Amino acid sequence: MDQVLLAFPPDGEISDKTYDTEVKKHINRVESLFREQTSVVLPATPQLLELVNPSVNSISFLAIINTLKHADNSTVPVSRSELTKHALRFLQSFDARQIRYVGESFLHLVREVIDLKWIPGPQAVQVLAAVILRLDSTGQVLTSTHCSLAELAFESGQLAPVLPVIEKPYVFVPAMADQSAPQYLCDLSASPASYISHKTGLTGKLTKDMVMHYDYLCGRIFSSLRKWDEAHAAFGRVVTFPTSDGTLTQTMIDAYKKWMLTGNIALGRRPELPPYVHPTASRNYGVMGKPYLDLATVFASGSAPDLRSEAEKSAKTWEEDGNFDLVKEVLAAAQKWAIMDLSNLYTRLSLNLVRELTKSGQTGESLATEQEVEDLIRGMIESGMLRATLTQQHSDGTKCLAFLSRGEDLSEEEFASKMKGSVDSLKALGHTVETTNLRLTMNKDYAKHVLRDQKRQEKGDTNDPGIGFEQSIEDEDLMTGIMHTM
Amino acid sequence: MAAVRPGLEAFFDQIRLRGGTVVEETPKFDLELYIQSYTGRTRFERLLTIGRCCIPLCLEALKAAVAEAKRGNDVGRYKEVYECIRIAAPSSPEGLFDQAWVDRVTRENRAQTHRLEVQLKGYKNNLVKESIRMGNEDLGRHFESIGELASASEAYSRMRPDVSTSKQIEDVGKHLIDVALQQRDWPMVLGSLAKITSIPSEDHKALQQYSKVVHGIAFMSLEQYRNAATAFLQINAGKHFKATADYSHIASPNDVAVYGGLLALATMDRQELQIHVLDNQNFRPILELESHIRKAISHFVNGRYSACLAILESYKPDYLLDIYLQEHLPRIYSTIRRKCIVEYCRPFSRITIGSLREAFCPAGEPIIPELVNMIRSGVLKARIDNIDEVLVAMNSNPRKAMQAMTLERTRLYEKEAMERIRRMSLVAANMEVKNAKKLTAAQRAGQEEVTDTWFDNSGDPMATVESQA
Repeated sequence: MDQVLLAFPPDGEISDKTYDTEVKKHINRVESLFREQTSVVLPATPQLLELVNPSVNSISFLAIINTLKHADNSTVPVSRSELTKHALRFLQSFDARQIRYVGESFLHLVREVIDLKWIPGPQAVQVLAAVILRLDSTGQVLTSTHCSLAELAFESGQLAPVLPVIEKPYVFVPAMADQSAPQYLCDLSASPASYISHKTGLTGKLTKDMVMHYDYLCGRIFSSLRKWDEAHAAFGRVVTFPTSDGTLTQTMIDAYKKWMLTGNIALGRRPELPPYVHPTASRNYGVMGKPYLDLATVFASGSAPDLRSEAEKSAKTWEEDGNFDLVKEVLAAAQKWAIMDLSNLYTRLSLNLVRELTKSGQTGESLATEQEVEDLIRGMIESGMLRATLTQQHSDGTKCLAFLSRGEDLSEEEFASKMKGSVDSLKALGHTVETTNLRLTMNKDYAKHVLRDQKRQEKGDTNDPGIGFEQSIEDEDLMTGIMHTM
Repeated sequence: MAAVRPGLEAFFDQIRLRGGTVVEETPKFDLELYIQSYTGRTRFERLLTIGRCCIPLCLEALKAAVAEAKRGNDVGRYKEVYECIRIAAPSSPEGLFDQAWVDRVTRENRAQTHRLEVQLKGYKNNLVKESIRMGNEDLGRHFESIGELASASEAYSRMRPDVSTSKQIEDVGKHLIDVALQQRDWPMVLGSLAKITSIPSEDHKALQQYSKVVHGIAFMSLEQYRNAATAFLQINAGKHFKATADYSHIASPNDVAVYGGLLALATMDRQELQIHVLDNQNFRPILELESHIRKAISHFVNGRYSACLAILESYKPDYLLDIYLQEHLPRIYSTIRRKCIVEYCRPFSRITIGSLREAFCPAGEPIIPELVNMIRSGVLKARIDNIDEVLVAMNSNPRKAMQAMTLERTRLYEKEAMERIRRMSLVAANMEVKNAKKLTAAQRAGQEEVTDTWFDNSGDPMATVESQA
């Protein structure tokens, strides 16, 4: 029994091919062991759970947990709390390479965690975040677990633990057409897109609504944590969701409204839709989100009293859309961005002048005292938004704000290391592009096109970049136009 | 005079209400001498503009305009100026409407139009190209003189099929340009110009001057000041420069000097001004006609900015009364002023705002709002230190800018590439948003018979087909 469970992985380095055959054999052996000798194995499970290391013998460990959770309660020699402890130990330390082969039972366990059958919500959020990152540390593939996690986190209010997951932008989704599977599932160089699929059971099916809802929830989580840049980007992913004819879903419209507001807060101006958004969609957005667009336009103009009256004008809309708090944030951000704008004009100025030049978006008036201005600026400096210092003049005691130059002067080494970082991330991007390219190369239509191209080359008419233009024209007469021979 | 005053005030109040330019100072030129430099229809236009804009010269100009209108056959113009003088000076002899003249001229014009049209018809029947061309030309001239510019332009363009020499092509072009200038149709002006400048001309020099002047005016009116300046400065006045120019029906050489000088001042840097204006032997004779412009430019080149601005300021009323320059003068002046401030600050890394105020705001107006505007629009690369009242130059740090730009570019590139791949993935997974309503509508219309069935890789029919099936 022990030998069967501990037989995999074998010691020493082995090739992917051997690993693949061995792991399949191992799974068969373990399955038959649990099927045929349940009565012998079950009583020994407490010892086995201690003996088998979840990070080394992940498949065996998962099989034990699986057997125990399906077994009749009366025959189980391990208490539920004990089992939970072991299950958690497994989920936090499993070997991602082995799990690729037993995706289905793994996902089953994960789903039970999502359904809060093992642990309460807050704890489940932490465990699930760890599971997702363990399975695919690049976070390139969006899985059904991502979607459930975001929902669970948002409902339970456990926001911070999901950040490591939702901060990684996904680029692939399961069930992409022409996505090939790797020759060996255990291939460590394979792209996550190739092995995280329904076939391996590592993710459930995803629909477009689920994907949109995930990004929308990410946006809301980031907004709750006041991470405006990230929130804006997340809402932006919903807003730019591909649409074939400019049709919008309700989630997209909701996201557009929040995207506009977070854009104001994060960028200090009106965000613009990227060029790849369908023209009809962008027109529809303009119609559906008119009050938001108007608010953003006034925000960009920098007039606090106008902003305030604009916000009051559509107060009912904000309330109905549940965006009242975000609009309040926009109003609060207006003066901060006005102060940021002063750094384009002044190097130093008295707080009193700041008070005169900028107005609060909440009241439409200048702040009442210098102290309020000082508090506001202090907050901005502490949050890293503004690079400046507050000083006091020796001569007459006036307080003044001195802006520091934007961005630090990088030494050659610092710059080189930053550049290296950029190069690394571009290289990583190269892999992603390669995966996509490979997938697109597998496309039937593309293959046909290549074949046709080859045939044409064999015929010998290679030097014709004009796609047959030269051959079809015999003569071009200025008076009669082009004469075709065909 | 005191009796006339209320009328004048009422007249200019109306102009102000309509947002027109009103000049209260007396310009430096003498109206009679000024108008002598022009010929043709521009005389009336200029007189009327001065009458409408300049309070001290209003009556004199309007009266001259009435006389000018009556010298021609354009009834519309007479009525136009009468409407002005009626309010400005109701008690003057010109304040009475000359109905007899209007009736007589209208009658004569109608008869002349008819006569010329019949004549042209006769030529057409005879099929003599040269006669048809001349007939059209006469008709065009007539229409132009009576103020029917659209018909004039049409008649002139009908000359085109019958031209036979390059001189005639040039004539057609000039006619069309002159009409288009009066209509302020600048693209048309430039289009016709391109046609006549591309053919070899017998009188090259005259045509060169004409075409450059028109080019310059058209570009200026289209707010392409740099191009306009270049066009004016390319005018080759030559050694035997005569003050009465071939373009006197459009502008005088003095105007050209002013246009060219001001636009150059607004758009060129000091070195360019030295080379293209002050050392430009071809343009020199023209520039000498308005020596104060030359002086202003050399003040600017030599760094005496306040002197330069003072000269320009003293001539401002004159320029505001020019038909082409009027509209653009505020912008040109503010550009020059901004350039002066920028140049003034250039040698210093810190400069007190007091000294700037002394140099540029002698009357004590505040200069900080102007500086703020200049910094905001990117003209002045500096920041204000409001505590010490100094303007601090922003020394550009190209290395830092390059580093920041490089890092930003890679970040943006990565972001966009990721986003595009994500979208491709979503499309590949058949997650594109489609209009469900449209599909059901199609269904209702009985389009289920579409035979193309598409299946995705897993063998499931794709969404569109599902809803159709």
